Amino acid sequence: MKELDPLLHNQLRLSIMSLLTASEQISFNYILEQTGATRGNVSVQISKLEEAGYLDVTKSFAGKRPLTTMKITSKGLDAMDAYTLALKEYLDL
Amino acid sequence: MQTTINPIQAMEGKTLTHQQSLEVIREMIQRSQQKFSQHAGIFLTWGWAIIIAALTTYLYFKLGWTFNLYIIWIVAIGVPGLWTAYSGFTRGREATRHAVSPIDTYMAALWGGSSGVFIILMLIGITYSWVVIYPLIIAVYGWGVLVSGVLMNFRPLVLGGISNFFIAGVAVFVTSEAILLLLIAALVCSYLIPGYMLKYSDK
Repeated sequence: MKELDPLLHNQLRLSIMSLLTASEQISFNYILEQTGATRGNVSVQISKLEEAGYLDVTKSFAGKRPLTTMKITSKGLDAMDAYTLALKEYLDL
Repeated sequence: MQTTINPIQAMEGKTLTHQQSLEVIREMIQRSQQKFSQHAGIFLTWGWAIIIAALTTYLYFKLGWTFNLYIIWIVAIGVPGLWTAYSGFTRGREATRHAVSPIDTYMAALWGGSSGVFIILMLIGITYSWVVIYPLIIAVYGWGVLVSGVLMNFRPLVLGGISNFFIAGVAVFVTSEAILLLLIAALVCSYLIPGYMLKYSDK
C-alpha cells in the first residue's frame, strides 16, 4: 500500500488543494468562504503548502484592496494525483 | 457515506479517515463547479440579434424595402458585441477576486478566436460576395457551439453545433434569399434552443 502524503492528509490543506485542482486560480477570500475556516488557520496552511512547492501565491491589488491569489503547481498536481490514487487503493475503489 | 465538512474541524486542521478524505475532495470540487446557466445569456443575445437582422434582411429583399441595410447589421452586431465585451470584462474581474475556472478561459479563447474569423468573413462578404460566406458563417457558428457544448458537457449544444454543419452544407446549394432562412434555422438550432435549455439547466 502506498503511504498517504501527510501534508495533504489534513482536512483544511486537502480542502485548499481540492479547490485549487478544480480552478485555474483562487483567491484567499474564496478559500475562507468555501471552507469556513479562520483567516489565521488558512494562512498557516497555505504557507505550509507553499513551502512544499504545492502552490504559488501572488499578492496584488484589486482597486485599493489587497488581493491574494494562488495557483496549484505541477508538483502540487502530482501530489494530489498520488494522494487520490493511494486513497482509492486503501478504499479498494 | 456522506461526510459534510465541519468548519470547526477545518479550523483545528484535524486529520481524516480515508473515506472522509475522499468526501472532502468530492465536496470541494463540487463547490468549485460553476453553474453553466450563466453562459446562456451570450447564446440568447447573439441568437436573437442575428435572427432579427437576418429576418429583416430577408423581408427587405422580399418586400422591396428601401433603407440602409447596413444599419441593421451594425446594430445587430455592435450592441451584442459591446455587451459581450463588457460582461466578459466584469466577469473576468469578478472571477479574479474569487475563482477563475478553466472553462471560462477556454470559452474566452474559443469565442475570441471565432470573432476574429467572423471579422475576416465579413470583410470578404463586403468586398466580394455575401452568398459565398454565409455557409462559412453558419459552419463557424456550429464549430463554436459544438466546442462550447463539449467543454460544458452539455449535449444540446453539441447537437446544435453538429446540426449547423448540415445546414451549412445545404446552404452551399441554395439561392441568396433561402440562405437567410437557413441562417435563421441554424441559429434557432444552435443558439436559441440550446441557449434556453442551458438557461434552465441549473434549476
